Amino acid sequence: MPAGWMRNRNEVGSKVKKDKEQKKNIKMLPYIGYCFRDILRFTPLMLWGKLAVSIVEGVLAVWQPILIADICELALGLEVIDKDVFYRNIIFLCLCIGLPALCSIVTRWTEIYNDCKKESCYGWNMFEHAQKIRLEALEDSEVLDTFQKADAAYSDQMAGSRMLSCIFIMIEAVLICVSTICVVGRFSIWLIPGAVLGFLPHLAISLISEKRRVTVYRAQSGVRRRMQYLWEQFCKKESVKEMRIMGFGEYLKKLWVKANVETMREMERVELKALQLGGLDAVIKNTCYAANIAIALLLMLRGSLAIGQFAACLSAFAVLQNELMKLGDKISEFANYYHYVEEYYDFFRIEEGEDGREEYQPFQQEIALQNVHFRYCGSERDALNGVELNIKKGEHVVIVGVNGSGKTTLSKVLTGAYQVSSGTVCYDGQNVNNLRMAGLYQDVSMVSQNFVHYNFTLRENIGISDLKYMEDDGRFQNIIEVMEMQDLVESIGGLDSQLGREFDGRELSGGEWQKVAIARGLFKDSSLIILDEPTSALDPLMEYDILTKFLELIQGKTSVIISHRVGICRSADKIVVMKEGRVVECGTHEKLQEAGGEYSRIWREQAKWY
Amino acid sequence: MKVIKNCLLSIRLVFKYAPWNAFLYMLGYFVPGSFSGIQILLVQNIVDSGVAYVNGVNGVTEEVAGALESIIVSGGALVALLFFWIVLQRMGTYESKVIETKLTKYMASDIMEKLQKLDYAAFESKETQEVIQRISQTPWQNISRCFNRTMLSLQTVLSIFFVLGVYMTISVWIGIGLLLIAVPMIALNFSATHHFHHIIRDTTEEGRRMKDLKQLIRSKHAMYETKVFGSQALIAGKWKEFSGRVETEMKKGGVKVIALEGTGKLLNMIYYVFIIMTLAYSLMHGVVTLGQFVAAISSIGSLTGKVNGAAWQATDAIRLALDIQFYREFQALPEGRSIGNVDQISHCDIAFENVSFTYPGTDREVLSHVTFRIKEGERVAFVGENGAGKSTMIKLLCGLYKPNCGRVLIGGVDVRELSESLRRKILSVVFQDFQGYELTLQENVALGNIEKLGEGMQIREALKLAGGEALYTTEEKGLQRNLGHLEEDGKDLSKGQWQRVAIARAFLADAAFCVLDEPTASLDPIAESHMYENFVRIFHKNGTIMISHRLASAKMADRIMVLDGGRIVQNGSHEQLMQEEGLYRTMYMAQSSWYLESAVNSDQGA
Repeated sequence: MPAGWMRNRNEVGSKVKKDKEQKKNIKMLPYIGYCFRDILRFTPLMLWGKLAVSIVEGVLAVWQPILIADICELALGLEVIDKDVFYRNIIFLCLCIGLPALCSIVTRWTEIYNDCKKESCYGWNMFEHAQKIRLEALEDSEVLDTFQKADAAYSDQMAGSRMLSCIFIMIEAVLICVSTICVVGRFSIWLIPGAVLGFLPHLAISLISEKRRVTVYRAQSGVRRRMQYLWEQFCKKESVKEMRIMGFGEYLKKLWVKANVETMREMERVELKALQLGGLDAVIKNTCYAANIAIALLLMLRGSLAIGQFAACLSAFAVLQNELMKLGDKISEFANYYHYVEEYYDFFRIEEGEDGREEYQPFQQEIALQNVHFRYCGSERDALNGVELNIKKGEHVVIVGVNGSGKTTLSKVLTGAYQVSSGTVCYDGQNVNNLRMAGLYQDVSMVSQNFVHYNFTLRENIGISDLKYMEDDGRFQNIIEVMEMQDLVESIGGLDSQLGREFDGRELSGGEWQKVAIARGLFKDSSLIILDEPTSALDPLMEYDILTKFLELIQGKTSVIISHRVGICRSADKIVVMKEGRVVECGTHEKLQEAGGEYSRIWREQAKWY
Repeated sequence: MKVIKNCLLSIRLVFKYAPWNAFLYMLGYFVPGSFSGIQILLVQNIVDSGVAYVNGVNGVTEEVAGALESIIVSGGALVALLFFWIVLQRMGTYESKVIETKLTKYMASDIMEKLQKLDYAAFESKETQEVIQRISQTPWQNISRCFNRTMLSLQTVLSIFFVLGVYMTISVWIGIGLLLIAVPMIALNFSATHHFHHIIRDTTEEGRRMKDLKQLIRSKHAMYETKVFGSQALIAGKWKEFSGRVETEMKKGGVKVIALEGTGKLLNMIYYVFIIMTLAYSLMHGVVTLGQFVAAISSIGSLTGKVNGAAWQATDAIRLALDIQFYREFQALPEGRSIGNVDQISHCDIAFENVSFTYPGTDREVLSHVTFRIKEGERVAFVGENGAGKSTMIKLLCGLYKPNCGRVLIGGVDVRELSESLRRKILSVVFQDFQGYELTLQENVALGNIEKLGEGMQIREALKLAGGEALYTTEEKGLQRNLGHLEEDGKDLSKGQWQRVAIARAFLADAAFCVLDEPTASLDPIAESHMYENFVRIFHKNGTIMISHRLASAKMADRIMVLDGGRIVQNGSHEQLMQEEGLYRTMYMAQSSWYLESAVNSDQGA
């Protein structure tokens, strides 16, 4: 039976997907807009710096050929030279060639500035949004995928600022090309056609070949992911172990080689096409270049172009060639970074969860679930299908049932972490949908099935459940005593020692982590505690130990325990038996045993082995 | 030294896997290296001839004709030069892509071969973890990148020398100036780049912290916990703290980098001014021709660009060269995988003779002097607490590790001497950390015995026996359904469902012994009991070795061995062991007490 709560695609994910399909129709402008907005917000200095550099560089690049023309003219008439004018021009030339070097310092500075701000602005942006995402969304691998891509986009690629640089450089290059053509045109109109003819085809060809490359690479991304996946299997110890024992290494290798040959062949094809197009491009560009030089020569020989102007033309043509090359490179770079920018901002399209407005009043009577339905979006059936349940204050409730019967989903709906599709969850008549969640959570604690190993200090690992007691050593002392963790605390060197091997702290064993998790749940000052099947990885002695301890410690609290092991039920005030998303039985151990229904069946199934 | 060695390594590797492409690549990059020098000469010639032509129009006709011819030849040469320049460069880029595909094709296969020959210990050992981790991420790309960078740096240095040579012909002073300026500039840039990488590396502790925090906000479990605990502020605070620290660290370093680079750029500017002034002065005094002047001025930009680039490329080449050290370490890993050739044994009894084992690089003896014998067809269970050495024993039994002392025998032969195919006929294992592969359901099951990939019936049968019938009956594509998320229509399975697939694999393998290493941990009670019943039923002809800390499974075995602290402390049937005072009885009592009616209320005191 498929487990309803596990890994079903849900609404948010399919939304992202739909968006992706639509995106092809959407213009790229909004993304560029987002990008500019964030740059203006986080690093406006960088924007202005880059803009200034672009303007200065553009102007200087155009000025240079003009200056050279003037200098040459002056130099040719050396005998009658006006030395002041000559030296003034030389100084301008110095400026013209020297300033770009200063500009590059500014550029470098903007880069470093942006690097510094990367984590604290773009990273924080993501971090903030991530904390607001609806919990259900994280069930979806699509959402996680988006997350991962967005993360890579900003931290590895610094997509936003690099795309911006590309845009600036592209604009600058185009402006330089156009104004260079104008300058040359001023010398003689005949020089314009050649220059323009070299310029336009190059632009077109760069765009076409880049587009083709991007299309193929994107189409291949699935196969590439598969290749990478298969390759990783050869390096992962768990897989290698099985591979060697079962002998399927050759088979996986075959699959990998197949995918590999396929993608590589296609890539070679694309690159070859790009080479051919590039060759064509070079031919056109050079023909134009040659024509231009020939025309300039002709004009000079006929006397309609001064020798200085001719020299300036040579210099201008070189600038033109150079800028054209740059333009081509930047177009492909832009396409690349734009892709990452999309990936970064797609992350912010994931919906945020909503919060209620009412303040929560601690419940005194009961928690009531009425006709609760819950469905993971994308799933065909309800994970919870009309649940009716009352939990009185101070009661110990155990929820049992087979895999996929909806136990964990029920617990998440109970705390309002998942919003019900229909029906109500009320704490003393206060509907959780309307409550401000932070208020409610002050009264709820839990030990989750997949409790988290924080790579923090032991103090933080326990105290994370209730931040206001983080410095309350007495409270820690107390919890350590009741959990009998004194030895553990001593062996790692005190409460403030780092845990987790990753940061040179000690790694705890499974059982020790389990104890930490329970201590964490109990540390919080709450009247409701939820314990979700925490003991599956433990050996029998420890399991027994921990469960008994837990039962002892939750006296006075309302508790909900979810367990596969029906053995624990005997000590419960109320047993809730779940089946296919419904509560099928509810009552004490004795009563349900007598009734001889689902509960007694499960009990017998398990007890018969002992 | 290491850097040069590694650069050479990358060159050697590229030449090994794609010799022709590497040659063409070098051609494409090195030949244009000399072009910028030649370009200067050509431009100079054109302008000078032009001047001569203009001046000589009224003079001697032969001179004029000579000047014209020279202009045309030089102009033609210039166009041809630029044409080849672009074409060669395109070719170089193309070849570098081809080199990458060739490396993916051929080098990757070799790496894979090596991976398969490695001693299994390499995958589990902490020291080699990083190397393996690096290998798992397209290592050939690092090699080709290092090759590219090395070549580029060499090319840049080469072309700088060419230009320098040409400058020397124009004015010795400019040449000397370049020499004087290039050395400190490269040094400054080099140290700036180096410093920059260094500030990034300095913040890695914080970087790792942030990565860790990111892991948390990406995990639904952590998000659930922090939401309920209201501790998002703590996580966010930590993020702010670490990212703030990174920012200040980088800013501090950034200032230094800018200062270093800025000094370099200033020198650069001074040099420009120096060149222009020298040239202008010489031009005034007729020492240089107009052509030389124009040619030199228009090449200044690209020259200093190269000097700047050289430093950057050299630092990058060094970084990449150090980076591919992992490949060297990988190549040095021992190829200890035992591939025996015994493919006939008289019987299938398993025997451990006085086996002791310590994991390489650790000092805790996991197994010490373990001796036992399991007869063909016997059902044996190993029980014991976490860390008692149960799983290690299975690894030794499979020949994944070699015991420090003693012998592991199957049919009287050391397991590491058995041929792969024979060992597979004797042993099939469901590991505790069994894997679900992102392939089709059919492939996933058939991995247990790849020869049966085409046998749909048997695969269905195996799945049915493992209780996973619903996996193919409820899906449209049946056995061909994709598992995992690699394919658009793929779906992941729950842990319990994967478990059924893993067990179906063992059924399909149909070996003399089936080893089940604690495979039931995440099954619900009813599924668990069905699974046990199935074990007994399916493997009634085969021997089974069950490892568990759930004692219910142990009860079904003919014989139970209790491991404690790496030793076998008890050995016998369930009944025998229950009569003894010992670990087994304590454990059993603890587990069964939940279910014994007599124990109600006595334990909990509720």
